[in-house]
Amino acid sequence: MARRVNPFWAIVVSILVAMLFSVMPVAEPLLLWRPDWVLLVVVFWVMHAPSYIGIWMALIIGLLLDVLLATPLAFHGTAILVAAYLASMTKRWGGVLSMRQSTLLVLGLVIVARAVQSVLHLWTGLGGDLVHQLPGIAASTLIWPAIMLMLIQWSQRS
Amino acid sequence: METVIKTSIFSKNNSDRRHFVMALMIALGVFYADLVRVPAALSARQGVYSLMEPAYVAMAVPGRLIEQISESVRLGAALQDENNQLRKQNLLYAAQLQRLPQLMSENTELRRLSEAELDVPAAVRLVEVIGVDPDPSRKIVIIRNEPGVKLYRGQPVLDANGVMGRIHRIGRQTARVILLTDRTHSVPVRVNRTGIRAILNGTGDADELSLQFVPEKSDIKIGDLLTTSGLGNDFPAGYPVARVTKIRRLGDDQFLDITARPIANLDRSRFLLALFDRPASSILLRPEESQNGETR
Repeated sequence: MARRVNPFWAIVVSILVAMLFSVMPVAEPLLLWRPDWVLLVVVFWVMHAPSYIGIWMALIIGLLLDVLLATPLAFHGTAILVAAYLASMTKRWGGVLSMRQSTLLVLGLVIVARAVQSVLHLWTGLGGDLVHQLPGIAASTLIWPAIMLMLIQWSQRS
Repeated sequence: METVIKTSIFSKNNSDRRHFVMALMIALGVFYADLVRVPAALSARQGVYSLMEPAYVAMAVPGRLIEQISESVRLGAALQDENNQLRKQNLLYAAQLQRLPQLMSENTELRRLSEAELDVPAAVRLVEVIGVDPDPSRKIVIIRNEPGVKLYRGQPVLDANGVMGRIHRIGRQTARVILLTDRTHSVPVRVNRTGIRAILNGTGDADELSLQFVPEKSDIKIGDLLTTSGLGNDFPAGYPVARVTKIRRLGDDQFLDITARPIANLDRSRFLLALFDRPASSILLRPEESQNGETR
């Protein structure tokens, strides 16, 4: 298990794909079910390649996402930053997290991130709606195992 | 080593936390700067957006492919339905067309009588919708911005039926059109039948607009057509916007509670028209900008 692959390109490609997925046009009823792709991928790398993606990179990626989505700057940036920091606190046992544990963790992180966004939304005066967040939270949590299985081969922990 | 002894399951590294607090403060600072529209934040965003927007262009490719495929494998029943509908529509148009020559001659006659100038048709530019804003709480579409076309902020955008919305952000290859139904969109309109002026606001709902500031005793009926009034800065007069669908009298309010449905196919039209025509009143409001606004 000591085999470690350099994850650089996997990180770049996965984040680019996540960004594309977050602007991918989907049918109207599915809009609310869009997972927080970028957040999930960043959280994965923060836990599995902490020397490549730290909280500063998380902030930068979040800001890029804001520009892409034309949301207020740092709207996603702050949320991803907070989630990345919380995820980085699990550094010591990131390697021994089972799929079930990490899925629970991700559920918590997504909820926190969306709560941060709701607070920021309130600040801008647009007002957040928590009920509409539920499908997105569920979708993000459910898609997590797939993302994890896909990227785990580049994990820097064993 | 002391962190190991702590009972918390999280490793608490002081330097990590310091970094986090710094990053968080920067994030909130950026958010605030963007919120109050500090020019530096706006120009930084504009610069980075040009780098990111190929994502939208790339994303439009599979969508178009899927559309082409689904078009070619569309089920027989759906095709038949559409065919029937088109035939019906065709008939309707043919009937309307029959009156056109008569109307034209009548029109030229009248024009000669009144010696009015011929109405110059406004310059338009066909633009293609290539994406939709992924945020379900906003109603924004992304269009392709071709080089050489000078789209401008606030420019009205129409589809074949009526007003769609206005352009609110322009990049190098794409532009974002904020639709009538967006919560932050409003357009000055008049009731075509009676001339009552009002403001039509988006509600965030896909086919519901809210007509504001119509006094309680006004003459307005369900089905009334609302057209742009030409007041304000962006929309020239006379373009159809919406039809009144519901009128409610609220007990003690001096205004009516009116909802309307947009006429344009906000969520289906793929090709839109960007209109290079400013209302007459915009010259009064912004004399310096109306000069260069009419580029084609």
